Amino acid sequence: MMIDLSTYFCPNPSCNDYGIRGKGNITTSTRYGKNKTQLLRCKTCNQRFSENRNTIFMHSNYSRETIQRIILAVSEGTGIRMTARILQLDKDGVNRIVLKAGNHCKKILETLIHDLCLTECQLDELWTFVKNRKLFPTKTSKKPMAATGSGPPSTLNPS
Amino acid sequence: MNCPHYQTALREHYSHCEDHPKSGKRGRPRKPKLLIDPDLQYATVHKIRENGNVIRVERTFVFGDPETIEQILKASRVSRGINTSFIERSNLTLRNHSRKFTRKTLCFAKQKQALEAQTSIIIT
Repeated sequence: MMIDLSTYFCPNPSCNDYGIRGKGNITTSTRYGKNKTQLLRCKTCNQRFSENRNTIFMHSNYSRETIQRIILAVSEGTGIRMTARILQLDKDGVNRIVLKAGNHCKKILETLIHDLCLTECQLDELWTFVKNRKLFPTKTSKKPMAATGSGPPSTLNPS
Repeated sequence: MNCPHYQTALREHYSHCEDHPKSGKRGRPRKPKLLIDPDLQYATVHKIRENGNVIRVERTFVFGDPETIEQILKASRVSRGINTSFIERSNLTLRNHSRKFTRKTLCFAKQKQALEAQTSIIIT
């Protein structure tokens, strides 16, 4: 599959063409891995980098299509376990992808949405539940491990 | 529900401290005065419910001049009164698009990080 090289830029901060798109300094190098990921090369600094560099597809055994399906399903209101059952994947794997994609999305939002010139705004609150089972007793809690719930034995020293 | 935390947060963020003039007398000087920025105009909408239905809506002016707020609303291209329509619409969209925000369901987040991640995906 051919990729559009004009959308890529050199990720090397010490390179003269760092962060500049469409300058013609990016060329294809070779392919690697199970998913045949394209390796790219910067002609200016001669450094090679993956086409998945700094994306959610980096270091993932799932294919691009699977990751896109997971994100689409989750953003349409499907739960983690539901998504895992539909796509026949492991729920922990799906959760890992969602956490990774969420961190990327958070960075995008922080970059794009700031210093807004608003004349009026509305504030409201939403309620939801977060369940957090304490596997390890905290420093302040005096209860022994058996009293805090089930789970693996604590490696922390309570004192 | 009228949440008092907004008032505290807005007061802390949109205010500055001003020292009192020196009296020339002995003793501890007076604490600096907290002055709220005149540009801050804040009003609340309080819905009073009975058996789950809204029977009355109370609007209160917290910071700023009521006349100034009305002038701003007149000049506004989207609002004609103090309301929460847009944020309620946004909340409902969020509740529809995320299983973790859906009402009356068994689904919930087990970690705060997972909740934040899924919310970021939906907003993006």
